[in-house]
Amino acid sequence: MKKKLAAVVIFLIICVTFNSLANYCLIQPGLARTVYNDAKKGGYDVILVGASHGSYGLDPEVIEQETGLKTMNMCMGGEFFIDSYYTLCYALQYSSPKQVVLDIDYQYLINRDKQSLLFNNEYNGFPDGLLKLRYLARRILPEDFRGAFLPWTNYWQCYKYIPKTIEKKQSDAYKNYEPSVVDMNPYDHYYGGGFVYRDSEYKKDTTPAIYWDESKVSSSELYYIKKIVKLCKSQGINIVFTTITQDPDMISDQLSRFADADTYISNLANTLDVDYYNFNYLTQEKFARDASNFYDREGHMYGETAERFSRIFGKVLYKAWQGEEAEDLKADYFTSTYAELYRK
Amino acid sequence: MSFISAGFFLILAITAFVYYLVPKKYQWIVLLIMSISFYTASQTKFLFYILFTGLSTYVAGVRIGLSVSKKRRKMWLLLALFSNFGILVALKYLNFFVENLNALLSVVPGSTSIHPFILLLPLGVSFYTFQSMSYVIDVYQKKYEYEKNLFKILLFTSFLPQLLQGPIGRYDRLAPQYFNGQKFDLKQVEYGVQRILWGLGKKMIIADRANAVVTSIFSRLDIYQGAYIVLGLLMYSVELYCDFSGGIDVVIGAAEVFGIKFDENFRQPYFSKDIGEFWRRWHITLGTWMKDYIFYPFSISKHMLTFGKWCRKKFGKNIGKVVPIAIANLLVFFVVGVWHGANWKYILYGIYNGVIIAASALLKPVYGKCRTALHINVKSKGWMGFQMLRTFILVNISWLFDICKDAGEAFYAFGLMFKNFNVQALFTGNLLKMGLNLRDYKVLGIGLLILLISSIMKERGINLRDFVADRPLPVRWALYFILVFATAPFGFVGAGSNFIYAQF
Repeated sequence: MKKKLAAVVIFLIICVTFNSLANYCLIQPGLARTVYNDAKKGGYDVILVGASHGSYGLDPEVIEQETGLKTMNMCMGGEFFIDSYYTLCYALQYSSPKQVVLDIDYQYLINRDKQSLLFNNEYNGFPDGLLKLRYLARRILPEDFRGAFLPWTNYWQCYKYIPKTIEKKQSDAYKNYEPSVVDMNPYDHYYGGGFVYRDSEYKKDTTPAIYWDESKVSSSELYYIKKIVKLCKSQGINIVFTTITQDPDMISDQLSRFADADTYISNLANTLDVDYYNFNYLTQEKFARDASNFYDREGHMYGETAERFSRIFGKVLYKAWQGEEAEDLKADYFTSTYAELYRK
Repeated sequence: MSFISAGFFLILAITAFVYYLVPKKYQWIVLLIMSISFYTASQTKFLFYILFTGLSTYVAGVRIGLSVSKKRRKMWLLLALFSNFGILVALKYLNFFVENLNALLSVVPGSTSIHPFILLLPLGVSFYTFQSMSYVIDVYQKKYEYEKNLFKILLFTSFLPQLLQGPIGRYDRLAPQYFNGQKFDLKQVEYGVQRILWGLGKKMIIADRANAVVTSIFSRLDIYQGAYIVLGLLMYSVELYCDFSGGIDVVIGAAEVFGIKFDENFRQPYFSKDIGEFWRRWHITLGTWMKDYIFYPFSISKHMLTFGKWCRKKFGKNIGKVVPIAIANLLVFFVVGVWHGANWKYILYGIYNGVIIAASALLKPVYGKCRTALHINVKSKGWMGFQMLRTFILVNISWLFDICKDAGEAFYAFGLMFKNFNVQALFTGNLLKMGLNLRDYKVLGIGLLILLISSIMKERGINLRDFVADRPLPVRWALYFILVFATAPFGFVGAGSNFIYAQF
C-alpha cells in the first residue's frame, strides 16, 4: 500500500510540475499585467472600468486635459462586471478616486453563459494576493476547471513560441511590466494608463454586436453592478454609468434592440440612484461620426476617433462631477431619442 | 456550479481527503456536509425545497413504517406523493397550464388572461423528487425497513454528484454503501478518476463541438434545409449522448472515488434494435423507475386486469394480452415526456415513443408473417444492422422535439429534411462557418471513432476499464497523464459549462 501511495504522490508531483512548466512556457504576457501595474502607481482621481469599448475608446490623458483629474482607464477586453468589481477593488487599494465610471456594454449583461476562457487574460494578469484569492473563489472556481487548474489550455497553440516566451519572461522588460513584451496586434499601440490606440489603417472587421435580449440578462452580472455601486457609495466615491458611442450603422440596423437595452440600463441606473450617460445619444454636432470611425460593426473606435471622443467624454464627465444636473447635461449634448439620430 | 467547474473538483478532492481520514461510521456525515454545503453555496434560495423533500420523505417513511392501519399507511404515502410531486408540478408546470389556459381564454370574448408566475427551478428537482418518492413507495410496499435517521435520508436525497443529473438511485442499494463506510482502495479511486476523465472527454471533446454545429443549424432554419438538417440532427444525437452520458460518467466516477457504486444509466443505446430496447439502454434509471412505479402498478391494477379480460374475450388471446400493455406503455411514455419539461413538444416526444412501442407490440404477428414471407434470417448480421439503423432513425426523429423550440418547429424541421436534399451542399465551405474549424472536425471525428470502438468492445463484453487496470502501473498512469492533459487542449472552448440534463 505504501508503495502505491508513493506512486500516487510521484504521479501528482509529475502532473503539478508539468502543469507549472506549461503555464510558464505557454501563457503569453498580457496587457492586463501592465494595466494593473499602472494602477498600482496610485493617486488617481478618476477610475474607468468596463470592457474593450473602453480600452479602445477612452484616452485618460485627454480626459485628464478636460477634467484636470488624474485618470486611469482599467477597461479591458472581455471584462465582465464581476471582473470590473475585482479590478476596482484592486485600484482602490492604491487610489482614493473622486469619481468611478462604469462603462456598460450591454453585451456583457447577456453573454455570460457562452463566455470562453478569455477571462484568463484578466485573471492571469491580476497581481497575487488575498484579493486574487477572493477573485479566484468567486470568478474562476465556478467556471470551467481549465481556467483555474490548467490556464495554459488557452495558449497551447503557442508551443511554437516557447523559447521566445521563456526569453521574454526572463527579460527586465517583463519584470518591469513594460508593454513591449506583449504581443499586440501590429495596429495597436499601448498609450499608457490603460488606453489602446488602434491605427486607422486596420481593415474594418465585420463582427456585429450581439442582439439585446432582456431574458438573457445574467443575474450574477447584475449583482456585481450593484456591488460596484455599493462599494463606491460606501467609500463616498461618486459613480456614473456610461455607454460609449458605437457604430451608428449597427445601431440603425438594430434600432429597437439598442433602444430596449438603453431603457433597461436607464431603469437599472434609476433604481440604483446613479446617473447614466449613454453616449450613443451624442448629437452629430458634438461628436461627428460615421461607420468609418469604428474598426468593427460592434463599435470599437479607431485611435483617432477615440481621441476626439475622449474630449467630449471628459467634458461631460467634468460637468457631471461639478454637479451639473444630468438632465441639463443631456439636453446640451444628447438627442432625446435614437430615432432622431439614427434615421436611415 | 457544474461538473466541469474547478469548484466541483476542488470540493470533490477535499471531501475525498477528509472522507478517508475520518472513521468509517462518520464518513456519511462528510458526504452530507459536502452535499448540503454545495447546495447552499450554489442554490441558497432553493435550499428550502430540498430540505422539505428530505424532511417529508423521512416523516412519511417513519409514519408508514410505524402505522399498522393500512388506511393510515396509504394516507401518509399519498401525503408524501402529493406534496412532493405537487411542488414539482407547481414549479415546473404551473406556467404551462397558465399558457394553455390563456390560449383557451383568448377565444372567449371579453375574457382576461392570467399573468404567468415568475418561478425558478431548484437544481436537480426532478431527479431528487423521483428518487425520494421511490423510497417512500418502497417502504409502503414493505420492500425494506424505514430509515430512523433524518440526516441519512437527507444524504440520500441530496448526495452531490448524483443530485445534478441522476442516475436516479434506490435506497436499498445505496444505503449500505453510504452508511457502512468504505475502506480506502486505491484501485477504486483510480477507477473513479478514470471514469471522470472519460466523461469529461465525451463532454468537452465531442459534445461541445457537436453543439456548435447543432446550434448553428437549428438557430437558422430559415436558411438551412435538406442535408444540413440531417447533419444537425445526427450531431444532436452525438451531442445529447455524449453530454448526458459524459455527465453520468463524471457522477459515477465521483461516487466511485468514495467507494460508492451507482446503477449504470446507459448501455450503448444507439445499438438498440427497437425502441423498447432503446429505452432499456438509454436513461436506464428513469426507465426502471417508470417500470417499477407506474408500468407494473398500472398494469396489474384491478381496472386494467378487468379490461385485459374483456379484451381477451372480445379480440382474442394475442390482442387481449397486448392492448393493456400498450396502454400502460402509452401512459409511461406520456409521463416520461412530461418529466422532460413543461411543453407540448415533450409530451409529443413521449407519446411518439409510446405509440411506436405500442404499435410494434400490436403488429408483432404481422411483422413475423412479413419476415417469413420475405425469407429473412432474423439472426443474420444484415437484419440486425437494418434493425439498428431503423431504430437509430426513429430515435433521431424524436430528438427533433428536443432540439426545436416547440412542436410546430419540430414538424417544420422534419419537413425541411426532405427539401432540396443534397449531400454535396455540405461541402461548399459552410461547415467551416459553424464555429468549428478543420482541426475541430478532425478532433471530433477521431473522438467519435474512439467512442465507437470502445462501445463495440463494450457491447462484445470486453471491459476496457479492466483492460486498462491490468496494465503495469507506469503504463496505466502514463495513460491517465495523457488523458488529463489531452482533455484540456483538445476540449472545445466557448461552449459554456452547462450540461443539457442539468436543467431537468
